[in-house]
Amino acid sequence: MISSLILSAMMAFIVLFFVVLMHNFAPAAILYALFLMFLFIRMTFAENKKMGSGVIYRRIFQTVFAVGFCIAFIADLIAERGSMSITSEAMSNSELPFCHIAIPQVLVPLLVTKNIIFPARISGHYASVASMILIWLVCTLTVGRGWCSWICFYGGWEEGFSHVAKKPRIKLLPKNKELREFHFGFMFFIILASLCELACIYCEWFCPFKLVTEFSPVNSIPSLIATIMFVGLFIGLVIVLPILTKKRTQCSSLCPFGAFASLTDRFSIFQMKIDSDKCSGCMKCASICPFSAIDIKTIQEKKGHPEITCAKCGECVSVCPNKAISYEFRFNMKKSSCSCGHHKNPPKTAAVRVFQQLLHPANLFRFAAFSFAVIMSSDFMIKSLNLIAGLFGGRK
Amino acid sequence: MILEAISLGLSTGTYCTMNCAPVLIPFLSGTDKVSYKRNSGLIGAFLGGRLVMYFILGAVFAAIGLLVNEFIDPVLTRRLSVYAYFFCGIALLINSLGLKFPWGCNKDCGCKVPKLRRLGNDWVTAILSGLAVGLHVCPPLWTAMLRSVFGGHGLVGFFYFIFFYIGTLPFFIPLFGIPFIAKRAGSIKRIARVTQFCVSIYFMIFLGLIPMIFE
Amino acid sequence: MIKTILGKIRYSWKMLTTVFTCFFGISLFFICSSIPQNFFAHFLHVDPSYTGGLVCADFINSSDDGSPLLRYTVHEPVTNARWQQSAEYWQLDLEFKDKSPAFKNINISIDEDFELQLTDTEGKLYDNSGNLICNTEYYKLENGSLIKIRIPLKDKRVQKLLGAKQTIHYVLLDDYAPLTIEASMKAHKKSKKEEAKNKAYIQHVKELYAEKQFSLMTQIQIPQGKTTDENLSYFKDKINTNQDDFVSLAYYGFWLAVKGGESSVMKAVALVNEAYTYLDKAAELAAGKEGEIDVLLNRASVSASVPEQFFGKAAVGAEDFMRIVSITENETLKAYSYVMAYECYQKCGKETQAILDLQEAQKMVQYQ
Repeated sequence: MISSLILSAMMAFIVLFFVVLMHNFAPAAILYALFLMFLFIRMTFAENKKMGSGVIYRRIFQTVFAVGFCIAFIADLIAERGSMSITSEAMSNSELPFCHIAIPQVLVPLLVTKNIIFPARISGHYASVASMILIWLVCTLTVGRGWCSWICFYGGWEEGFSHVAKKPRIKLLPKNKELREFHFGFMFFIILASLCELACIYCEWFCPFKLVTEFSPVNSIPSLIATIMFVGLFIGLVIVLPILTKKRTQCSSLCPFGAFASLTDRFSIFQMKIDSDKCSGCMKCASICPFSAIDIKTIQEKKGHPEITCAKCGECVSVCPNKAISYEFRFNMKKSSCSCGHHKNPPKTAAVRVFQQLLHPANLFRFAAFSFAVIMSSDFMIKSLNLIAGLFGGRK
Repeated sequence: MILEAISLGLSTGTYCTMNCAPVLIPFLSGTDKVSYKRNSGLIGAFLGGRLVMYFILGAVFAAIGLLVNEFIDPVLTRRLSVYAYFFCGIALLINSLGLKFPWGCNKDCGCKVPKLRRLGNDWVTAILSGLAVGLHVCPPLWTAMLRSVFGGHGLVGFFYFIFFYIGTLPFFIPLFGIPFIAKRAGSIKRIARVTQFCVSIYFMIFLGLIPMIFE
Repeated sequence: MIKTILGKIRYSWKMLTTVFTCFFGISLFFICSSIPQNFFAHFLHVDPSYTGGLVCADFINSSDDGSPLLRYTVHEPVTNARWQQSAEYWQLDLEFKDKSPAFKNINISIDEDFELQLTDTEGKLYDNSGNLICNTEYYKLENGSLIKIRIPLKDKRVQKLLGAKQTIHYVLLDDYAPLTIEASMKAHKKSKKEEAKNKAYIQHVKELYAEKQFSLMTQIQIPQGKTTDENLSYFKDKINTNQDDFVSLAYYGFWLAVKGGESSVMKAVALVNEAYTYLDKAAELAAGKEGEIDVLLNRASVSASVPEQFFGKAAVGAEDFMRIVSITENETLKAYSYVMAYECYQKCGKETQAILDLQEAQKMVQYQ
């Protein structure tokens, strides 16, 4: 209880500074700040009461952020260019917004040619190359692939759609391994083809989120083919399949950033841990995992952690009946001479108990991920709230 | 002359990596029998195919004569690349369907489409894809061909081109280490086969058929 | 025993860094992100095929003939460009002094083999016999102050430019005097020596300005050797006595910004925002009056110092410094203002304006 209060107070400072103060105490900023604090407090207290019960608040945040980002981003584009489609002026002036999905596509060509193969601003904009690469670097070192489940403003669409149906109509668990292999195979194809073409081919042909951000104008047959592809991929992989499978199908099968983040997740501080002693093999975690990160073999072979594609969303923690799954520090997962991280005896004083709870990996991870989410989302959400208010105010 | 030819070859390194990597890396990583000897042989077959295509292009240049500057332009080299991608894509797709489809292969017959097994043989694929990749004409290759065909005495020009080709080879050295990685995990093989399948479809349709028909 | 102790020390260190990163590190990163961003921006470049090709010639028109053309840039021809209208093209840029400049025609003769005719909305390329070769891509950007022309290289006649080492451009804009530009067709790298020379010059002008200790334009006595809070209290009293005392308003705003710089990050943003309410009010009241230079110097100095990422005031600062240039007669102050305007324009990405201001400064104050 006390640790939850302390965490909430600390988060309140972050929300106050980045949301309220940075936006000059605007009404929309205050409203959004209250919403964020509500989510964080509820999540923290719920987790304190029952491990894994706060996961619904993560889902709410990510879904709301996806919609808000879409509104604000499209409004920005229309204000800048007059339409959602990419204008020749924006293309020729190298002013396209650079998103995180382009990062794996540009890194290898950057090493070979020393150039960024994407016509974006290098700096001085929220969607510039330098800012997105820096955000990715910091994210890799802190939450790792937790970006996908806590911050990604595209993944929120699937997060929402995957929780529409009560039960999955198609069960993907037996195909988890094939899905992961396809995911990595597709990522390597994207990286190699982008190197060959010196252009981001995922952005050109395969990105389903062009439907909710920006796209090339349909003025030729190839661009018509590309349009049909991205509309089809959005409907199929972002709406229909998540509803049918209750998984984040685009995130776990197509998104090259997701696969890339899985590879670089080894540098992050946190990892999910499966306690083989407590695990009863019920496979509820594997069924619910939206990223196909737990297989039958993962449990049978007692690996001690989910597969490489784990995005640390916490869904498995919420369904495990034996509390066998938890967040853990990566450095605690390795065998060492020091058993410092393992507290066998209960804490002697209340202060020590509070201290231990504060520094619990789950609390630290949630705090870090939520901080990231607050800062990334504030500008977009406040803008979209202002737009919505303006729309209703205008109608009256 | 030797140093000039080699340094010109070295300057194509970036271009070579860009065009050959998507073809060779998944192809070599996904082979059934992983061994350093076989791997080196396949790389040799690919490079041999590439060299043959360069000789064919050189012969065409020599036949056209000095009109080559009138006929060959960036637009035409881009068209040549479209055909290169298309035929390379077909070769890789046949290999993928005939021998290396990522899943569902019966261990006994070992391939999805038995009739493509011979045509999709690894050695045939390596040579055909090498020939196809040789159609990508980059500016340093263009310079090397012009100098070797029109630069002077026939034999000198021939050796100029050979040394230029040798200069392009250092960038293929890392590929000889692929068996080291491929042997470590079976999943790398399957992932490579997925990559090869995707590359073949992409080359054939997106970089081959679509520009061929619509541009 | 030693291993256990070392293990404990290692563990404690890892825990400390983890806790710091999670609680404070992410917030600090976003607050200070402009610093690493600017650092990265020096090393990252967009592939030239997207931006028009590498620059091979850059001509800045500093003549006083009234011509609206400010800058003429020739790029290297591009082949195999992706996502562009033409995969092979040659780009020429024309930058103007004003937004949406009024001109009827621009004729650019290239090597006497080609003639590029530009109107307000389109460009066409002709051969030396007057036959149309092709329409060019024509982009009007930055409120019309920048026109980018891309000549498609599909025609064989134009493709000869690919092999050219140099081209000569005769730029004729309406009735103004024609410009002759010899453009190499190979990109050049910015000389590091030139950049170091500019840096040294800017430092010299700043030192000169600090030495001269400009006397104030007004009668006000500025307190010396006091702390920030004392200065704030001093000027607050002055403002309470006279609400329209714009010099005191400006100094109060200035010292608020200084206090912001000395405070924690959370307070700094609020203080700087508050500072601008005073500075802006002071500038409004001081317009055209004696003491305007003081007010503008205060506001411009604050604008030049605050992080651009958070406040975006570099352009305002540059405009203030240019206004000082137009008011003052003092050469050193003019040079200082030009140099500060150069830095402000660099911050907000207006490179051409920055270069021009530096050139103006160099006319006023020499440096060896």
